[in-house]
Amino acid sequence: MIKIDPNMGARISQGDIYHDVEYIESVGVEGDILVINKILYPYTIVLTQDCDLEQDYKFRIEDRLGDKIIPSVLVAPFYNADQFFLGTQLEELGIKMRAIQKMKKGRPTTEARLILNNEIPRYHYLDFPAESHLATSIIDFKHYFSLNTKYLVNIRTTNFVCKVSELYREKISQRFAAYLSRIGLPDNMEEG
Amino acid sequence: MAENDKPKVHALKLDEATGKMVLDIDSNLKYYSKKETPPDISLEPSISTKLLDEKRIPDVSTSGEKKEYAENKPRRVTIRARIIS
Repeated sequence: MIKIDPNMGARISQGDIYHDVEYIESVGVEGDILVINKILYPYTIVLTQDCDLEQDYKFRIEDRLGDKIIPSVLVAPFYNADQFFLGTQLEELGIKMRAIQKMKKGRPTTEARLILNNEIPRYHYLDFPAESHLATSIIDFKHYFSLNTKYLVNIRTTNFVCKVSELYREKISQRFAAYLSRIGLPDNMEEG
Repeated sequence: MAENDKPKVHALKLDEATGKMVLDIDSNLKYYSKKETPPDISLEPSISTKLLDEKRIPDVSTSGEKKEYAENKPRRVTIRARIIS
């Protein structure tokens, strides 16, 4: 089980969890109609390095030169673990994900066990303490996206849920960095 | 041989990746019925099965108000606005 801090800090921090975050999917014009598609993510966690967020905050409040300002904040969505195993976490978007069998003969399957132990690089299992009121969830690092920093600052006070405590957030950050920097090799390697 | 007379041994198998003999968990589990206390298999990863045993858990908002299950999934919202030039 991870530890959380329910207190909102003075600024956006790595490990912050925000609910109902809007991601602008597309903006288009159809005749004289402006069409904006956005995806509403129930929960996201901030992945941007905390030192960058701290520098950004200082430079913004002190109205200093903008070389430390970051235009966007990296986040990743996380999904209800039960929905994740059923493969239904994105069904509202018309996307059917692969279902993962959790139990076999009364025991967790090998794949479920690997996910729960955070041994699959793409996923990070979050078992929240009861006071967070959050269901057990799974971060999908493949689904990371960025949010405009000003947007996140504006919704911060109303959409803040809690903060993943230090060490636990560093583990998430490190695993995300490792996943992002993985090297994909071609399926069919030439012999020789 | 009766079920209870089966030897409670820890079978091993060769891990081809490491070249070492490791505990064959699946093979060992065949010897133990669900009513018996399973052996202490130290090589088995420690995991939390709480989630797996529970029914589907509806998520709960920070205010403590229960949300419908489907509301906790990402969803698409489309806004259409007439451009006034």
